[in-house]
Amino acid sequence: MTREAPTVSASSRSWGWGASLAGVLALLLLGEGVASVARRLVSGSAGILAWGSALVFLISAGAFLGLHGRAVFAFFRSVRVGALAIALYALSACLGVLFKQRDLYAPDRTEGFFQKFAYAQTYFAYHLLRPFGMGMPRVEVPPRAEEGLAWRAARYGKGAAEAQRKSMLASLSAEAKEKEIAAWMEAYTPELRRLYAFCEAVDLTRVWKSDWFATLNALLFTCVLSNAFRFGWGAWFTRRRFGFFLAHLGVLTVLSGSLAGRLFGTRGRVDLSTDPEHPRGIPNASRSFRPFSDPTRPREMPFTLRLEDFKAEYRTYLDVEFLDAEAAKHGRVKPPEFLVREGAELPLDFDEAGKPRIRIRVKEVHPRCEVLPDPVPADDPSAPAILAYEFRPASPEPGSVRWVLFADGPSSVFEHPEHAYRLRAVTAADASAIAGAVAEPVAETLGRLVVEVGEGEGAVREEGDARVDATVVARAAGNGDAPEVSATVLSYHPDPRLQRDPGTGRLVAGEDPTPLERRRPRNPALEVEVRSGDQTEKRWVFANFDIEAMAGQHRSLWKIPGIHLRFRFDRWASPVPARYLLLLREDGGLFLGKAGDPGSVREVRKGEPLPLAGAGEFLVRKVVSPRARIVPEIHPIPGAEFFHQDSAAAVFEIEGPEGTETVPLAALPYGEFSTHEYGERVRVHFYAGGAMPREWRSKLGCYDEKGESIAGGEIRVNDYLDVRGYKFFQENADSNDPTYSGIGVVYDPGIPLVLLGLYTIIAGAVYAFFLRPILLRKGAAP
Amino acid sequence: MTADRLFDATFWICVAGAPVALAASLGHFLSGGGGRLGRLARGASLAALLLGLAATLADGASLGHRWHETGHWPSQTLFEVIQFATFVLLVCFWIVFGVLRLHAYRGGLRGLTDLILFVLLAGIAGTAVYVRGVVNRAPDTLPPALQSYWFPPHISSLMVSYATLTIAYVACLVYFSFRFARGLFERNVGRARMLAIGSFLFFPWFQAVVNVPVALICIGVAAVLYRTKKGMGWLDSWMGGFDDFSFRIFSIGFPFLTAGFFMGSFWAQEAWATYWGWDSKEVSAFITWLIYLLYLHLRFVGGLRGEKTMALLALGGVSIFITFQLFGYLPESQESLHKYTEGSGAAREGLLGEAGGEAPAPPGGG
Repeated sequence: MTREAPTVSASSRSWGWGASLAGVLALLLLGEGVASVARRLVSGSAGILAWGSALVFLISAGAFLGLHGRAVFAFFRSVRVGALAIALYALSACLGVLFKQRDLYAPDRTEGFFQKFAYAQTYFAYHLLRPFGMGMPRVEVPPRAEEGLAWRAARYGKGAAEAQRKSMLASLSAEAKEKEIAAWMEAYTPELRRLYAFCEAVDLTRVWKSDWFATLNALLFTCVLSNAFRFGWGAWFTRRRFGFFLAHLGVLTVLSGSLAGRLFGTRGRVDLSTDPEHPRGIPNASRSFRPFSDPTRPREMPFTLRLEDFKAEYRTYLDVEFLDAEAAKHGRVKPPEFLVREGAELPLDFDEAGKPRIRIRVKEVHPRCEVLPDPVPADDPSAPAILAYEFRPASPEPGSVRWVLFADGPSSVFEHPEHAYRLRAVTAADASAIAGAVAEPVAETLGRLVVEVGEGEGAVREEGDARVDATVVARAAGNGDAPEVSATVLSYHPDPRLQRDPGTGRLVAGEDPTPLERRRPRNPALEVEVRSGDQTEKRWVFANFDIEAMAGQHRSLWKIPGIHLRFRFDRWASPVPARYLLLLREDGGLFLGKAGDPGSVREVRKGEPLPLAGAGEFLVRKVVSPRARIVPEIHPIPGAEFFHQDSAAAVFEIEGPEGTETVPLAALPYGEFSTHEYGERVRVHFYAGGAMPREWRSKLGCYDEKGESIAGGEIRVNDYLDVRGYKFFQENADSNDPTYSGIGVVYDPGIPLVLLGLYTIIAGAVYAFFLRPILLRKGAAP
Repeated sequence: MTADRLFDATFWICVAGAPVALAASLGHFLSGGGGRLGRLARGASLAALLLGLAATLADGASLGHRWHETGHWPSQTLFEVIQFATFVLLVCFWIVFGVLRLHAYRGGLRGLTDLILFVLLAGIAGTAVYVRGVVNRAPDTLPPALQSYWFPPHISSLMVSYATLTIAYVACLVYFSFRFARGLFERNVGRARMLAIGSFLFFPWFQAVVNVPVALICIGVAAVLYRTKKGMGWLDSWMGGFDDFSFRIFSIGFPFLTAGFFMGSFWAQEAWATYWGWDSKEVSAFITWLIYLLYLHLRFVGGLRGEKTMALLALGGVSIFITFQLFGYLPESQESLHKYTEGSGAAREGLLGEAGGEAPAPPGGG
């Protein structure tokens, strides 16, 4: 190999290292100049002088090439120029990582970029001058935390405590370090400003997009081009040269492809939601995407992209919390989370000899289950009786609902889907108690309206019956001057569709022709007039959520400060056409009665539809009385369907001083059946979550102007969809908004060329390094 | 837990093996392989190799256990990457050992193998000290971004190349150290070259932790040999053929570097429809690749041989070092997609009260 390598060729001998370098640098300068003139010519801001000089330049360059073409060719073909091009390329790459770069696609043009630049350069300099952390501020875990770590080691094991210690130290040292860096940054601001100005002037903050780097690319291209053809056409397919030729052809293809991408490509993002009526207005389908280079000017696509489905699937974890008094002292520290995997074992609560007192084993894990509540007898004297039911909606609606009612619980109510009736369960000792319970009339009310004035210890809290036109009055304590505050209910809305009134800008409820009592209270709300002194204001109060807390502490929603309203909705006494009581007699008898109508009581049987005034069938499946608790009944659903909304479940075995328990737990969205207490020692909590989803996927569909499907498919991270040159990939998701999917869009016609080039280089390298030696040896053999 | 213990075992084996390898190396250099010291050195050399083998097995078992435990290719967390890198380094040592027939070296030359092994074992022990001190070893689950079939080959290919080229670097380092030492004692090296080599060996920066000890060992050996009038003639054949020796190590590593580099591009293309994003890690690897490409071109097309091209090999090694050791601190790396993240701000809870803060910066990256 050594002998056949040609030495520096005759033609390049005239180009020494110094001359080559001077030539290359002159070319880079020329490139900068040409690019800036060309830019002015293209933008149309060029005067006659610029056009004239461009013309003169082109003519003289052409003449130079015509007269000295051979010498120019020799220059680019020279090994030294080639080597310098590679070396300068490496040097430019170094500059590109040594200085903070503006974003490639969405460059930050604000003053904020200087701050980023200054921080990044200081951060780098700081670490450069503190190799291997020498001289960095020392940090130690404070004694108070040591106690916590010892406790953690005893309860969760040494590994968990060690991990905690390391993250504490990392966090503390990062904090100390950041302080020093901030001080450096402040002290060297003038120098950083000067460095920044210099970097900006010579494009060191945008190396990859600079003209000089583009020139360097062109130089490299020309060098490779002139070298690939240096041996003439006939040499291409010889055994000796084929690999060399192929590899260099590949480089040319890659460079051409990247140029095409730079000239004609765009990248950006389109935000879609599976919810066609998304509260923040994210669309379900879009015909355009927002390019990173200018998000304000959406770019049209030749089809409409629709988000058919989206799901982010999270991993399942188990938290273990200790319940004793000592644990309460350390309760502020988050317990470690353990990833739930089948067969895994978790030892806990170690004794002096280092042996665990408690062991939790993961017996089964089911990623997709139907989870149903199953009442079982309980020992706890305060536990209620529980009734399991099934509701089968009238056809054609599919799917039945299977859930439970807690007896005697005022908020445990079954609500008919079309709001024909409500039903609740009560226990009764005998026939007279049953008659009494049914005879008792229901005083219709919406619930309670709570008015809080002021904050902290001096706050005053008044509540009253929430009815339309009712008023709750409160006055701030210990201050005779404080005005009286009153809140009057103006209207009740079981499920308002709020709209902004175009005239006043206020939120108003949309018209709904359905009678009030036939509307199901999915989102019960009150419109309330608040009066404080001579100020009045209308407010919306929701039972399901605290709108003030949602708006955040730093933003006041209301004109009148210091007054907070809450609405506690009554699930039983609020308006509904009919109310039924399901009565559980102590001896196991089951009766149904219409509230307020003693004559309506009749005995009913489990498993048979109850005579209720509404569409669909309501059946009692199981009654556990007088004391019951709920365990999840897990029905694994087989199959590989990803876009399901069912939850994961797992079966654990907890072994310890209180005996061995088998505990099924489910990871339902609202946390039902997710916790279990083992004796009074530990509480385990099973849930799906974590910082990162295990997997996220979007199902996309593309439609033409007539609305006909032209393409579609699933995308996931590492697997995109390509439709007519538009590539869609999974880019973004929001754990707070499960309907939202951020989809990256790339339109880059250069990609196929670049890939072809890369494969060609590989083929060339494989030939040159592996096949060529074999072929040449064979050829030389005879 | 077992993966941890096995990694700790690797650490202790390296701690034990490094001084044995150093002793063997010194013994071989000083005795020239003869006499009682030579016999002792041969024994120590064998012991060091056996310890190196034990470290390879322990590290491999630790890695295998972690793979089994997490159910995914163990190159996700910083700990796993270090586990993997140290293992690959040891395996590549054995590959180089076999391919370059290092076992056939006799006499004083045998000390070279021992010295390279010493650097590797000491380096691994040093890295393990860092791991034991600050790196969180808890396994984690693979984020969607890493769930790709490109993940294992991309990482492994780059690791093999980095390991092999690091060994090439160490070999160059030993060469230049001896060259420098002979220049000091024989006064047969020009002043400019001495200055260049000296500044490479002693430049007070990150790479000094490897360079300075090796240089001092070599100079010390040379000093003893010249004082006792034994001289270093036995090194001539090796130093004369070093260009070819180092090229052979390079030719094992370079195809893997290219393959790993290209696979990264294919992977990025599948994940983000971007074959190249000028991410600082990509660029760091690209710089390394360009340096080796320059080496290749100058050696084959330019016909350059000897110390000038070897200097490029050494420069490539420095570049790898930067990619590993300095990468996390580069101004451009703060937003890199290749940065390892570990730990979380949660650790502050209960320690500093409600004081919120950002997640700690990872100490380096790889």
